[in-house]
This record gives sequence, C-alpha cells and structure tokens, in this order.
Amino acid sequence: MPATVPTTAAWRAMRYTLSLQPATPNAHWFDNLAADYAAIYLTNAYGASPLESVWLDDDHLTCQDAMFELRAIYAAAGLATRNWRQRPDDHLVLQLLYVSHAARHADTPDDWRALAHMLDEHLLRWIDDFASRIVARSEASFYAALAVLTSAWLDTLRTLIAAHLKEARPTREEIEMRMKSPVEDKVVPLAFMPGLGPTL
Amino acid sequence: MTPISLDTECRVAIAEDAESLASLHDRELTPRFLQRYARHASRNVSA
Repeated sequence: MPATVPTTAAWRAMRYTLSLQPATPNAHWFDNLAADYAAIYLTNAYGASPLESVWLDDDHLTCQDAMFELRAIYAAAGLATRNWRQRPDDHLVLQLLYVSHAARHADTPDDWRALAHMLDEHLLRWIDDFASRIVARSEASFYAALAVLTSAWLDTLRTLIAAHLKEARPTREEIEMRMKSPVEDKVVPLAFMPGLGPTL
Repeated sequence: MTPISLDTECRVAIAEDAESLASLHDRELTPRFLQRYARHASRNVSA
C-alpha cells in the first residue's frame, strides 16, 4: 500500500501503542485491553458498534438493510457468514475478510470496481465515525490506534483502486444519493382510510 | 489521476493487510499475538 500521510501516522501510532506493552506482559495490561475489547465488541459500552447497521439505520438497530445487502455481496462471491445470529454479515471483521477475499481474487477492472462500490456503500460510510468514537471513549490506546489505522487503511485502499481504474472517487453526497432508495421518493396514494368506507 | 497497476504481489499484500486488521478486531489479544503484530507494524512504518 502506498505510504500516505494518514496511513503512516496511523502505523506510527500503532507502533507506539505496541511499544507501551511491558517487556514482560503483565495481567493488568491485558486486563485493560480485555476491558476495552469488551466495551467495543461485546457490550457496546462505548457506543462504538462494529456493526454497520447500528451506524446507518435511522433507528440505530442491528441486523437492518446493511446486513442483507452485504449478505448478497458475499453470496455473489460464493461466501456466507458462519452464524449471522452470533456475528451478523455487516460486522467489521466479516467486511474486512470480504475485502481480503475480493482483493486476492480481483483479476479484472470490474472486480476492482465491485470492491470499490462495496467500500463506498458500506465500510467507508461509517468507519470514520467508529474510529472517532473509540478515540474519544476508549481507556487503552491500542484499540484507538487500531480503529484509526483501519479507517486510514481502507481510505488508502479506495484511493489506490481509483488510481488503478483511473476513475475518480465519488463524493460522500454522490454515494448518499446512490444509496437513497427510489422507493422513498415515490408517493403512494392512500388506498384505505379507516372509517371512510363500508365495513366488510 | 496517475494510473497504477495492482499486480499479484500488491493484491496479496492488500489481502494480508485486510486479514491482519480483521484478526486484530476479531478477538481478545494474547501477548504472543501482539508481539507478532508489533513486528508487522514496524515493517510498515519503516517501509
């Protein structure tokens, strides 16, 4: 990956936070890490969910549109999540694993274009907010560094694909317009109003 | 925009980076895993 300013800074932060690990790792240090891990990935105590639906759904619910959209993307690649009830398809880990799979198997411009769309329409719409929330709330620096690194890395990957395809990255507004369901704009005539017609 | 080529080596590097990040977000960390990852981070900073 090209060493952009954000990714280099993120890697340095990661190296620094890893250097804080005691020469002889002690239980206290790992307890702090485990507490942070639980607060982010298990209990949502920091309000920094690793699930895309929570960030993009109007009511911040899990297992919403993003989960089904990503399930379809995985299925098109012959992939499926092991147990969506334990880890829904829109979980950060599963999305990163899909990125890995897609990059490894990308042969044609269309393959890269499909990965670019996935990044635009999913991970890149919320990963920055996820990272900012962890930076603001986490106790140990490790997960803050990891979240920032993940965000910077994904952004750099998207820029790299754009350069490879010689196609400019769409703006945030363009992506939001693309994602807006056409159904939302359609005015549906009211077919039934209680009390206005004969009761059957 | 400068065109670049994403050759096989580059694709594998991207895939491995994504897997690494996934594994760090995936589970509670052990000392051994962290030491291994520290070496990975050092390589990326010095590259």
